[in-house]
Amino acid sequence: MGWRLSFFLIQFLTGLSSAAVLFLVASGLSLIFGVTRILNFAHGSLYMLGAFISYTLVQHLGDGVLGFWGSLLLASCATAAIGTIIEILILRRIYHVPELFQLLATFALLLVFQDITLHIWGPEDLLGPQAPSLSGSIEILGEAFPTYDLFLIGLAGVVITGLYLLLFKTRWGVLLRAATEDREMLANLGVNQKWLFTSVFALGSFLAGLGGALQLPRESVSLSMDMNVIIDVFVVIVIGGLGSLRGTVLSAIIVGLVRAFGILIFPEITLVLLFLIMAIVLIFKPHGLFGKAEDSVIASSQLASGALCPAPKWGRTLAVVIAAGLLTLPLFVGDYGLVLTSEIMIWALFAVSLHFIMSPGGVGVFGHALYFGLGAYATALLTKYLAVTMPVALLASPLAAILGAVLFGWFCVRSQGMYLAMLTFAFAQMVWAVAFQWYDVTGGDNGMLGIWPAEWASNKTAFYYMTYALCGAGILLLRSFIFTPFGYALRAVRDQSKRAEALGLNAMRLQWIGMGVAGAFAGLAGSLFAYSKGSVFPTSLDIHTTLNAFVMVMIGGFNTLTGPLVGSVIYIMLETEISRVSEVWRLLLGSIILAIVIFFPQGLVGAFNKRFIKVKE
Amino acid sequence: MKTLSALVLGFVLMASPALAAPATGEPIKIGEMMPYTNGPSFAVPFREGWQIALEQINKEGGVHGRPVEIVSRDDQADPAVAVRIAEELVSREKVVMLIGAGFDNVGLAVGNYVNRYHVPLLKQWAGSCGPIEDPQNTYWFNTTPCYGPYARIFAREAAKLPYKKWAMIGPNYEFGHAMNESFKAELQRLRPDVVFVSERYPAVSKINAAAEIRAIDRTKPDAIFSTIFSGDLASYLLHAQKVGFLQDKYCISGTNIGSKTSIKELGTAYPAGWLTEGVPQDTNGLPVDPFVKLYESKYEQRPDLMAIYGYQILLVAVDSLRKAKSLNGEDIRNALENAKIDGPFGPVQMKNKQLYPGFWLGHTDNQNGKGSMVNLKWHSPEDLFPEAFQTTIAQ
Repeated sequence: MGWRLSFFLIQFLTGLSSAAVLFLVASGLSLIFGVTRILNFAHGSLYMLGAFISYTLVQHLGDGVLGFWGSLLLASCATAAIGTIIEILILRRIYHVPELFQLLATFALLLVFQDITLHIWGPEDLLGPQAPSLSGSIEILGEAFPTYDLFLIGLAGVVITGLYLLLFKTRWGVLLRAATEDREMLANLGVNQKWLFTSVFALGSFLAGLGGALQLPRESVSLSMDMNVIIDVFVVIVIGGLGSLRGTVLSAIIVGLVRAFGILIFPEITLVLLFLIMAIVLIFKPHGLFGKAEDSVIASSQLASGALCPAPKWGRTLAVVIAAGLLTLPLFVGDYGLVLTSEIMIWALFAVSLHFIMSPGGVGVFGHALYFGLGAYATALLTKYLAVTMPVALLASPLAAILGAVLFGWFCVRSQGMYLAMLTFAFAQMVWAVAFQWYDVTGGDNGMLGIWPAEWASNKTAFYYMTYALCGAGILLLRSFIFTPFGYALRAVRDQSKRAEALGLNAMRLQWIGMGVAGAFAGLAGSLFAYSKGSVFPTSLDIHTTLNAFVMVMIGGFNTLTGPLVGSVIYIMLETEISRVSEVWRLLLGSIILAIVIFFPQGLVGAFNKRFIKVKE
Repeated sequence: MKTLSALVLGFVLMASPALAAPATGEPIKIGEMMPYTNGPSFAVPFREGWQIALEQINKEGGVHGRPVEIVSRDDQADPAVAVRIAEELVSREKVVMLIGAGFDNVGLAVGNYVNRYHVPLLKQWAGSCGPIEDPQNTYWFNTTPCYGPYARIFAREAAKLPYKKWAMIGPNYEFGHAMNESFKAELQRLRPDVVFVSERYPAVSKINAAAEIRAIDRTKPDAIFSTIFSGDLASYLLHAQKVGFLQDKYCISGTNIGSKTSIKELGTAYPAGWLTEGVPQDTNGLPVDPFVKLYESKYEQRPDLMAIYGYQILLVAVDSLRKAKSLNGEDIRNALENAKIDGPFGPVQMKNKQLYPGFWLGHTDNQNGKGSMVNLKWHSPEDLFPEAFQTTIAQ
């Protein structure tokens, strides 16, 4: 091919320049995580806002030297101010809630900011000016390289030095490092943590805003910037080790270089590559390259605790009445009513399976869509390539999901806390990327069509009864597992893992089996979903599918058994009714999630139980 | 009272045969969906377009005297949501047909649904040719040709040029591969001396512009066929600007970058000298002119291509409703097979479930950071899509 040294050098510099921006954004997130232990999705929003604000400022201040750089700086400061407000108004109220709730709350913020940005700046992409006097390129060994990219590499070096001096040569830095090490110790020494957290948040937000503003001469400012960057940045700080500055530097460089060279060597799997690296690093270094083991106190055990009781007598009567009512539903509602109810039942099964692994299972997964999507794709692939009948596909899909759970779960149960959440996330993204990019087999973005139910189940009433039977059985089975010795053992491991192990319980194996069980039912839900829509798309594997189920479980209540059921009914009804009349569906959804996390962390059913029913402690 | 007004109405009708009465009675419902809240810039112009057509149609008496009502929904750019919305529109709102479905994947999911439940679907632009040309497809129609014939238009233009070394870049999903491969096959058929030296497919909205440009530049092409769009295209152009990559290369954009929205979105980085599709500034005397005037008076700006498509789609829908024997799915479908309108692109007729309007092709220009389209030339459908018109004659 005649690849010369100069070609490699330029490609190397290209990698470094994208690493520079990644580092700016990631270092802010990493600092924030270090002290607050919050993995902040809305960091992506701050990055996006930095870009949007600086675009608007440049329009007013002009693209001369002063106008351009002034706009960038002002935009970063504005972003820092927005970050500070978020911290004071919202995040302060959720420092005490379990980490996955925090993750969800910050995702809700991201949704809110998406709608706000859309309404302020409109749907069109915006393109800013080139940087004054950095708009050209210089020649390095005969190849042109943009001066602006060279400038970014230099700037990142300056920021690294600045952060180092700040962390190691100032009192504020000492306090910050102390807070990263041990928050309680610092509080005992009488340090006002509130303002320390706020100041760290402001600094992190400033860096995010700067990162976004610096993109102006490199890409157009768009509404998808937030999600695009945040997923990359999560990967960077997880590989580097959460809260470690030098880890973030190293990992940003690794990611930047892998991107630059990966495109040349494996152009087809660029999307998978990043998550693959993250998974490999986490398998060998469970806390990233430079991360430290977290106190097991903050691990997933906080997600849910306390006893789960079988339903009281009146509860069972109510359940029987509802089940009987659903049986007669086709007498009262039309086709759309049946379609909607079928969809709710499918989501309910998926939400219950997520609840099973997270609440009694005590495994804080963040990629449950993986099993839903595996079930859906197994159904589609078997139907398309092997022409199997519906009953066979309905049986095979949970098996496919179990296979996935056995493979991925083996790695996941060896990890803990936020790393576990990120590992499950990485696996789900990997499978999503395969479905998205391997279009010869999966149809890629165009999905797989013509996945309709068998003749006997093809009318809406028949399909409704089939869904009713399968989802009902699935939900009852999952529920009954909780009260088997296996279920008690899972909860023992969750609540007191050391004691449970001393009693001879194999924690890892139990959780591994738990993931298989939850995966199987998620797979069944995915298969039914495929038949109900007649088609399968990569969206069934993406983060929104995971989040939908998550929100359903949260609305109902984490530590209740009926919560996911109530949650899925409410969520789907809200989504179908509100999105029909409102153009701010994401803003509303985000606000609802935030309200639940802040005011009802126990969920609606949890709040009901607390108010009206004495739960045995 | 009723008789009186009917009498008056009848009198007015007789007195002014040129003016039809406004439609009255039970409306005929058409379902529409687009990703309204996900922020693509084409959804709102599309709605503005059909809203103008709707007012006009109802003023002219609707369909057999009944007004037309459009039930509009947000499909959230999610195929699964779109299928649920289709169910809701059909069984709860009782719409007689569906229009819209913006993104390709949403269109495919809804197309798959309508073929099973026998509801006609009109989509504003086509995706890949496979699904629409599939003999199993009976209810899904497009108001623009699918990627294959569309890409061949550009190949024919490319064949007239002296360039022999071509490169291609497109988004790594079905659309990009389908467009680029059709272009390549047609160009190689017309010009066996042409070679394709580089074919790049960066991940959608994840382009590494610097690396892609370097990979193409190493192969020293004379010309480039490109189908990347929006954010990816912007990053590509910004980097190309810095390193002077495009200065000596002729480019064709298979994705339409001549629209008002693209010119605005690509701003100062708007390329000069690229062949692409556009709408002329001066529409006087053209079939599209009445619509442009209506649009300008209502929205105080010039319409984008997508608004014209939105206008055209409703004309086609209503034409088929008027001609259909009844309002059941099969009859509307049969009428759609032969839909024929004198619309914004002149007279057009449905052929093999697709409409082949003509296009304006021209070159992009950038004067001091302001983009525009120059030398736009109208190409009639018969010139652009000879194969579509020949097959009809052969049949």
